Amino acid sequence: MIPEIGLFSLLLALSFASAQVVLPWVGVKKHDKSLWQSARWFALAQFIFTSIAISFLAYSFLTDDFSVAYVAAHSNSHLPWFYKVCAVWGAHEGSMLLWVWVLTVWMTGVSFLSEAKHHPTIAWVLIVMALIAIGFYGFILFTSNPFIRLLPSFPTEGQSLNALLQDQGMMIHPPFLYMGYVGFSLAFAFAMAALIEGKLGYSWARWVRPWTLLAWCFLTYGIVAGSWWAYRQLGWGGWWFWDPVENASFMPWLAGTALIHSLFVVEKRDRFKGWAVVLALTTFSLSLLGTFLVRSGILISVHAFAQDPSRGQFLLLFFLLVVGISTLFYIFRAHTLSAPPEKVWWLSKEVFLLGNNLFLYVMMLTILLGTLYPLVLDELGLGKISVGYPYFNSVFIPLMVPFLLIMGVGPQVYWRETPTSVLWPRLGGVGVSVLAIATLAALYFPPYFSWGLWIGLVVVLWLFSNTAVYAWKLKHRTIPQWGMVLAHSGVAVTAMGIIVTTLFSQEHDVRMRVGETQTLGGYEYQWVRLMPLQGPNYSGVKAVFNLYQHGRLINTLSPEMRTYPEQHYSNPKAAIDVTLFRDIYVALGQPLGSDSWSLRVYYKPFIRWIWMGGLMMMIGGLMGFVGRMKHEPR
Amino acid sequence: MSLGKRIFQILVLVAFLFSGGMFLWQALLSNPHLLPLARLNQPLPVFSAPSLFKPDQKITEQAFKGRATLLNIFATWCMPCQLEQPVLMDIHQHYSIPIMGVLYKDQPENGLQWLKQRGNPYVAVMLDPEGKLGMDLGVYGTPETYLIDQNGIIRYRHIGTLSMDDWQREFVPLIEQGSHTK
Amino acid sequence: MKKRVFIFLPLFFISVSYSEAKYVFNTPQQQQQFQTMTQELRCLVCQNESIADSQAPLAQDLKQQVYQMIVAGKTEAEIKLYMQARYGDFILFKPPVQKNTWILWALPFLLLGIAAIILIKIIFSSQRPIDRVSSRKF
Repeated sequence: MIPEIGLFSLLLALSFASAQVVLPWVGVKKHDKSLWQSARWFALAQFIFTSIAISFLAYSFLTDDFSVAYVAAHSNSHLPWFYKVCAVWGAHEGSMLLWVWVLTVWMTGVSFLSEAKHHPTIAWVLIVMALIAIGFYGFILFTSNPFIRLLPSFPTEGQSLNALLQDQGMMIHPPFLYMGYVGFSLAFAFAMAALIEGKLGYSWARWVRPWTLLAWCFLTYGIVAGSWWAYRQLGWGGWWFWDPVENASFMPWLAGTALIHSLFVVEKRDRFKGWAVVLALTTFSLSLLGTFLVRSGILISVHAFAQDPSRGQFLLLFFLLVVGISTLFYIFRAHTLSAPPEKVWWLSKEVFLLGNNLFLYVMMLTILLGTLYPLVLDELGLGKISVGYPYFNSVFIPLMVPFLLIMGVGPQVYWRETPTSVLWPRLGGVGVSVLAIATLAALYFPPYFSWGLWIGLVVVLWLFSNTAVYAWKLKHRTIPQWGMVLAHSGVAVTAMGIIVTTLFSQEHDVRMRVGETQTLGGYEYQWVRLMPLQGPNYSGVKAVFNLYQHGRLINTLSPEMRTYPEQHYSNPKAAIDVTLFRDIYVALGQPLGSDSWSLRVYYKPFIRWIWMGGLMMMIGGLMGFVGRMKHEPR
Repeated sequence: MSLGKRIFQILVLVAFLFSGGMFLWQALLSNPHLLPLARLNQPLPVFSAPSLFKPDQKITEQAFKGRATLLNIFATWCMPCQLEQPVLMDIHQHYSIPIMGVLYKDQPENGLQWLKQRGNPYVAVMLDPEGKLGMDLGVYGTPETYLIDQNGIIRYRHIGTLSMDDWQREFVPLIEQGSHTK
Repeated sequence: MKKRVFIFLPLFFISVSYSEAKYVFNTPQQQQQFQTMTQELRCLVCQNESIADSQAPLAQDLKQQVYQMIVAGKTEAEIKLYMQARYGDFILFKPPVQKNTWILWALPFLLLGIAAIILIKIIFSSQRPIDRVSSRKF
C-alpha cells in the first residue's frame, strides 16, 4: 500500500507541476496578480507530495519491504538503519527521486522567501522550474520508477547496498551535491525569466545572487565531501582522480564560481548582463550534462550505473532540449539586456572579474574536452585513447598558476579605474616579501628543495597576502566582504594542501607479519595484533597498529578488512591518524599466507588543508549569503 | 542584431546540438570498455609455445602460414569459454578453417581433461601458463577469438563468447573476402 | 626536519594464487620508476584503476612485466611502447601527443588565447571617455 501511495503522490506532484506552468502563465498574460502568485502554492504542493513519495520510499527501506523491486535490489535486513536511508539514493531510481525532491525544496524556498515574490518575474521563474520538474517527474514515472513491485512472489532478503557506499560519506555527498546541482536551476530560471521579460535590472541580480551563492556553497561542500570520502574509502590515499563523474561535478562548480562573480558585477555596476545570463544557462546545463554522463554508462568511471540505454537517451534528449531552447531564447532576446557600454580601463574590477570569468570558463571547457574527447575519437573511428589524470594535471596546473596570481590582485583594483600610485607599490611590497618568504620556506622546511614547491609557495603566499592586505585596507568591513576574504583564503589553503601533498607524499607498499615494525617518513608503525571482526552485516579481520614518532607512542590505528557475505565482496577500511599538518594512513591489502599481509601505508602531508580550504570557501559563501539576506543598504 | 547574424547563430546552435547529440546517442549504444585490436593488420608476434598434445614439440607463428586460421584463447576456469565450446565444435565440423587453441593461464592436465570431456575443436593447442603469449597478442580477457590470414597477419578479434550469430556476421564475410583476394 | 627513509623487505614469492609478489629493485630510482610506471598504466580489466591499484590478475601480470623490464634497464619510453604495441594507446593514462590528440593538447591553450583576445576586444570596444572624478573605490 505504502509504495502505491508514494507513486500516487508523484503523480499528484506532476499534476501540480503542470498547473504551475499553466496558471501562472495565464496570470501573467492577464496581469492577474493573484493568479500568478498561485504558483507558490503549487510549488508547496509539489514539495509536500514529493516529500511523501521519498519518505514512503525510505519507509519501505526501513521496514525491509522487499516486495518493492528497488528495495530488494539495494537493501538488506542486516543493513544498519542509517544505511537503509542512504540506500534510498544509492542507485538510479532513488537518486532521481532525490533530485526532483531537492528541486521542489528550492522551488518552494524561492516562491516564499525570494525578494522577487511580488514581481511577475517570479511567475516566470516558477514556470521554468516547473517545466524542469515535469521533465524529471516524467522521467521517473516512465523509465525510473522506484516503486515497482515484485508481486506476487518477492524475495525474502535483499541484495544489499554496495559495500563501497556503506560509509558516512554516503549520507553527505549525494544530498549536498544535488542541493548544489539543482540549486543552479534557480539561476537558470531567473535567467530565462529575464530573457522572456526582456529586462534584467539591478533588482534581478539582487534576487538571483543569494540563491546562486547558496547553491554554490552546497556544491562546494558536496565536492569536498566526495573527495574526503574517496580518500577514506577507496584505500589508495587518493583524493581526486579526474574521474569523469568528478569532472561532471567540477564543471558546474567552475561555471557556478564564474556566475557568482559575474552576478556581483551586474549588481554593483549593472553591466556584463549578457555574460551573467550565459553563465546561468551554462551552469545548470552542465548540471544536467553531469546527471546524464554519470548515469549513461558511456564513460569509464568508478561510478558504475549499469542500465538500459533508454534512460540515458531520455536524459540526453532532455539536456539537448534545455540547451537548445535556452540558447534560442538567448539568441533572440539577449539584445534586450545590454546596457550602453562605458569605458573601462585595464586596471579595473570589471576587467578583472570578466577575466576571472573567462579563465574559469576556459578551465571548464578544458575539462569538458578532456572528459569527452576519448568518446568522440572512438565514435569517429579515429582511435581509442584514454585521457586520464596526467592529462588533466598537465593542462590544469598551467591554467591555475596565472589564475591564482591574478586572483590576488583582483579584489584590490577599483571599479572603472585604479590609481596606479596606490596599486603598484602595494603589489610590489607584497611581491618582494612573498618571494623572500617562499624562498626561505622552500629551503628550510621540506627534506629537499623543490622548484615545484617554490613556485607553489610563491603563488599561494601571493594570493593569501594580497587577500589579507585587501582585508586590512577595507574601510567598512561588511559580512559579505569578510566572506570573500575567507573564501579567497580558502582557495589559497586548498592550493597549498594540493601542492605539498602532491610533492611530498610517501607511499609504502609492504608485506608485514604481526609483530613487525616498519618506518615511513619519520614515523614507525608496529603491527601489534590481528583480530577477527564482526559487524552488523560484515565480518572480517581488524589489524591493530601502534604508531610511534621518535620512539613515542602517538596513536593506535586499526585498519579493517570487511567482508560482506551478501555481495561476496571485501572492502578494506583504512585507519588514519589525522593532524593538521599530515595524515598517516594505513590500509590492509591482501593476505599472503603464512600470517603475512600486504599493506599500504601513506604519509600525506597537508592533505587536510585541501578540504579545510574547501570548507573555508563554503563558509565564505554562506557569509555572503547571510550578508545579502540582511537587506544591506545600497 | 541583424536577421542574418541570428540565422547564423541558430545554424551554429543546431549544428552543435545535432553533432553532440549524435555522438552521445551513439555512445549510449556502444560499449566503452571494448578495446580495439592493437595488432590489427600486423603479423603474429614471434613466439614459441609448447603443444598440449605433443609436449616435446613447439608451435610457432610459422604454423599460421599457408591458410587462414582461427586462434581461440580459452581457459578451463572461464565460464564464458564453456559456453562457446559447442559453437567451436560446430565450426570445426562444418567449416574448413582450422582452429588453433591457446590454453591461457591454466594447467595442461586441466586442458586435456576439459577437451576430453567436451570434445576437441582444435587442430593444435598451445600452452600459455603465464599468459606471456596472451600479453604479446594483447589479450585482456577470455575468451577471445582471432582471425589470422594465410600470411600470418591478424585480421580480426572477437571479444567474449563466440555465438553462431557472431561467427556468421563477423567472421564468415571476412574469410570469404580473404579467400577471394588470394 | 623529516628524513625520507626507505626500508626494503627481502623478497619472497608465494605461490598462493591470489597473492601479490613483492618486487626487489637494485636502486631506489628503479623503485620510483616502477611506482610511477604502474600508476600511469591503465588496468584493462578494471578500467578505471591503474595497474598499481588494481587487484585483477592481468594487472598483476602487467606489473610483473614492468618489473622485469625495469630491472633489465629499459627506459620508460620503451616500456610504454611495449604496452602500446600490445594494448593500444588506451593503456596509457596520459594520452600520447600524436596526430589524433593534437587538438586535445593544444585546445586548452588556444582557448585561453581566444579568451584573452575577447577580453582585449571588450576593453577596447567601449566608446565614452572615462570620467575620472566619479570613479569609485571597490
